[in-house]
Amino acid sequence: MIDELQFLSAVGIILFGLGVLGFLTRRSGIIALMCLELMLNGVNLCLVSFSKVHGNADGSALVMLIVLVAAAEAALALALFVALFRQSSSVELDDYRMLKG
Amino acid sequence: MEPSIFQYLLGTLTVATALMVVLGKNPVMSAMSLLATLFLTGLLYFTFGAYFVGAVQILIYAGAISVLFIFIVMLLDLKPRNVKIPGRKPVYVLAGIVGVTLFGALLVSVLPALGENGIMDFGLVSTSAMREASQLPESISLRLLSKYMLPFQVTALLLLAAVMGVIVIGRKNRLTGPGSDERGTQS
Repeated sequence: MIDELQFLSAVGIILFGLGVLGFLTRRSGIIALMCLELMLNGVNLCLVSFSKVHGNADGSALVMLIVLVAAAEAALALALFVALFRQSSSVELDDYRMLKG
Repeated sequence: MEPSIFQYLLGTLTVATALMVVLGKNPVMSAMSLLATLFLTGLLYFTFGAYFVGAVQILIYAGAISVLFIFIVMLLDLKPRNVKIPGRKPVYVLAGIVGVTLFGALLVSVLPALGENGIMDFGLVSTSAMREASQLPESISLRLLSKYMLPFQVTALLLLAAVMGVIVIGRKNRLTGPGSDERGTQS
């Protein structure tokens, strides 16, 4: 039967897979960002379960750093989308063709 | 040790709300589901004995990041869009195949290694006391302030840079040269 920590990392992997799928298929920039957060959450769940398996706190310390980086990344990316929305009134990633040349 | 029914319930609810984030038509609905996912993940940490990580998860993720998402989604007044089911463009098919393959490979490769036999194979001998002690706040903070001191300080610099970047990006009346239009100052 499935182990407790196996279950925790299975939930983490499922969250990561859903995040990858959403990030690759959704075309709305904000929802792509949300899927990015889902992926980071899946990684955090896996890190905590690995940390418990090994019996040391390295994984949990890494989770703290990931949470801080995720906070900085979310704030910056959302500010970028607000600035882009002022320019083109859209957050659909397919609408940004300025860089295509 | 087997997961309890409560843990099964929390895990299922987490995955269900994550599905709602990915499949939701309305961005507000997606943002609300993201809040639920992050909160349930925090509760899942609590049930697995990682109390400090769970508290940080609920305070920072569910309390700050998801509220930022909801705030921005409501500020931008986004229109609901239908989910484009992949299948028309080959790019989406490729994306779906990559996502599913990655997911399956992770599940197949990681899960057996965490079982009883897999842990024996890797030579990991951690008692349950060690497992409990690894999640205590003092052991986590001891790691952060000794072994991971440099990454910790670099993260502080990153947060400072992010704050300054957000202020610069979000400023409304930026300097417009004579050749540029007035769009930067409007709205």
